[in-house]
Amino acid sequence: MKTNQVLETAEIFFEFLKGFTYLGGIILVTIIIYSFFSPTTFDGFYKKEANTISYNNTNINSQKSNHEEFKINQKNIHLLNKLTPFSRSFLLVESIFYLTISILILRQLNNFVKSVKDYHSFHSKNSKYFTNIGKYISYLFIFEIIAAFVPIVIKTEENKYHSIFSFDISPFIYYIAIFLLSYTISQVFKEGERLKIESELTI
Amino acid sequence: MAIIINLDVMLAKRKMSLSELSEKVNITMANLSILKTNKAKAIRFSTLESICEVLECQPGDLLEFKDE
Repeated sequence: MKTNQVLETAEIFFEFLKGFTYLGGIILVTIIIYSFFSPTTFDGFYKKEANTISYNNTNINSQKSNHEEFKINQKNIHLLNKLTPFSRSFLLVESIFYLTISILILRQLNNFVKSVKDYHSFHSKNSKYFTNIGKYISYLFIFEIIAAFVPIVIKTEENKYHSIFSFDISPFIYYIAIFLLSYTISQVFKEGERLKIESELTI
Repeated sequence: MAIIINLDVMLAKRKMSLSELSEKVNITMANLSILKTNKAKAIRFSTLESICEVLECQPGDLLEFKDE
């Protein structure tokens, strides 16, 4: 059956994504922890905007580019080893938090796909899975608000501390949208479950 | 407010067992048991018709409205 093939693909995809997140998480956390002990090792790693870490093998500070996009992005790029221990610790907490939430959401999605695959589409658990996703998104939302008030502190070459507050409204809009969507889907499954019970108890 | 099914009363009146009714109306014992214990959410007209036919009664004899 075609539907089952799609569901099987979805299940494999979510499993793969979960494994990839675990692996990425371990690497990311290791890099951040290692940067405490050996700041010069990861010269190429930089923190971009509020919650992403990327790698660039060229030295960003010395790079001169006419590329407009890079010029705009450069304002939000901070070398990982220039961050103060506090900022790096917060980055570590932030990364662990995001990865945990990602894994939890992927687990819920995987369980949901498994349940649909086993023909238990309107099981009470499915409604719960989406409620949980909504709950996790609300935690992300709260954490993002807190993170917006925590500055990125950079130690400049003159041994001065420079605080930067970064705030981006777009993730909040996505979080609200996903939160509402999850709760709506959860209600759909709740209603489906009610109808299923009613149909089962119709003699 | 609830609709009560007096299936056990009618069965006693007709001196018929649940399994006998089950065979005659072609409804499983499990479903008749749901009906008897008032756990059912709805009843089809076709089911009601066959039960009434076998028990020689009216739907009103089987169904009762009780104000809780």
